[in-house]
Amino acid sequence: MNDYYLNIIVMTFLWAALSGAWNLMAGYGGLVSLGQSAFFGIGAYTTAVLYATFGISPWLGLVFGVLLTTSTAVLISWPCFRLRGAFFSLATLVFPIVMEILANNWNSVTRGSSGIALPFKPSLENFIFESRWAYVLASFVLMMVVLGITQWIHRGRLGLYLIAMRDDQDAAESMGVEPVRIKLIITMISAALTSVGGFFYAQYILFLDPPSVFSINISVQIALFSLIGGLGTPFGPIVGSLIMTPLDGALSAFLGGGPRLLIYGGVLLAVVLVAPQGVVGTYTAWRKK
Amino acid sequence: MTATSFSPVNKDSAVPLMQIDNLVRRFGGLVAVNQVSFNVHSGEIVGLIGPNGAGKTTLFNIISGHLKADSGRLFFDGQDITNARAAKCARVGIGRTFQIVKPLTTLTVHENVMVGALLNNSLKVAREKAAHIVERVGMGDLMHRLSGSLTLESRKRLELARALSVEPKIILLDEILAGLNASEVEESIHLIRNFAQEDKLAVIMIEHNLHAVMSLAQKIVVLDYGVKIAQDVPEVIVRDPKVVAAYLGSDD
Repeated sequence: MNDYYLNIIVMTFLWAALSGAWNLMAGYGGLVSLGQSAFFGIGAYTTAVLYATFGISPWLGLVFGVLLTTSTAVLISWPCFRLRGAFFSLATLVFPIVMEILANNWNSVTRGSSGIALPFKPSLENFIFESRWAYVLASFVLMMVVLGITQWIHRGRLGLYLIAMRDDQDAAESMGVEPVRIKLIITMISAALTSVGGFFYAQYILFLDPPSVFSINISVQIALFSLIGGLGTPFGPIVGSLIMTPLDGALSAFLGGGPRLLIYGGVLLAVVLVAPQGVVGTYTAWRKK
Repeated sequence: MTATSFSPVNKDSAVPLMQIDNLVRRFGGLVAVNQVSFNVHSGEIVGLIGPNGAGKTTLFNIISGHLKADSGRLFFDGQDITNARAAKCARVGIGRTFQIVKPLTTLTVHENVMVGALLNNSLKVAREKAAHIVERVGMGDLMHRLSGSLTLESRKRLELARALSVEPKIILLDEILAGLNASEVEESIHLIRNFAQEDKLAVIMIEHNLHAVMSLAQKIVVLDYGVKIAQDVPEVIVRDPKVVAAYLGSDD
């Protein structure tokens, strides 16, 4: 199998993981965040800057990245928790924009718009590998970790509290659910997992510039895959990514540019019209009949 | 003497379970609840009546922590819980229903009740207790139905089950009989009486169905324009000229 196909597999797993992390907040908790690329970018930039500039092991960078992302997530999302529904989404949309501006202008650290190239020194210690198979394995593990955490939450107390809060916050509160605490917990988990995705992206692509990690498109794509696969289901994001990432890869290889986006948009429209609950959601509903 | 002057209340003593003390809530220029005070004892059923817009639901929202009071105090089971958050109110033992029913539509009946049962229990125990409560309110055959697909009568009953799920010492029932037919009302009256007697549960019920309130309540509190205009046993309340005037209008 050549690198081209392996790359599509890696990206499929990575997007499934990122979308799965978003699904925890949005699908279960009803917190439709459009700021995921802020978490993704902070994770990616932290490892990249520490490794490329200071020669610090990416493994340590991963730890720092997750800590930094999680604490940033708490600071920026806490004020947004007062907002419900679409207002929350709009507020979260601001953060990747701010982060992109920051990354573009904080030249001394991020090297601005020219971006950061990570030196290619393959070793497990540097989390850089010659064979793409290693990345396939790593991204697969990441996806499975997200799936495992989702399953665990889905079956437990936190999952029930999240769904209760999503369905009706007043009713949930009247039964003792603390909305702010629950929202903080799920946001921290989601941000941490997304940050790990950012770390992986930096170590895989070995080049970062502000738009490649902070772009709103990334936040939107993360959300789309879960919507297509099935919001609030453990397998939804994986199914969504399995359909869309290879499709996107194939379209850009054979068509490119305009026709690709046209077909991509057409598939989106079809799914929304035919299966508004996503592939997994619609399948489950159909089986219950 | 120990430092805890608010020691847990002795059941035999005359100290009330809930003390509502001069609660006030304004919405702009409107005083929705105006210096309302009354007490509720363990196992007591209190009827809260009054014309539409009298402030009954607003008072409930303050007691259950969904609204903040502008002034006044609220004591429950020896604690000052004035302006506590809703989740805290649930934890100390206040269960409530919503007048406009709020089923958690993507969860089953059993899961709806489990949310509250988890407050004091592990997952496993909560599962059993929730099933027990669902059976007890007579919804056993609907246990695993999605609550979004229930009829209004069942949704009202689910509200009651959920109020009971937090293992409350008091439940606040907001018009749970409205929209039910005669036999459903009788059944609900029977249920509520059972819970009050067997579980020593205190009840405050907002109800427009006067027949139901009169047959259940030991004490009736009447609100009109946010003010408490009367409080007494049902037999006296129905003859109180102020109450009659509030409901039917007066000559002057």
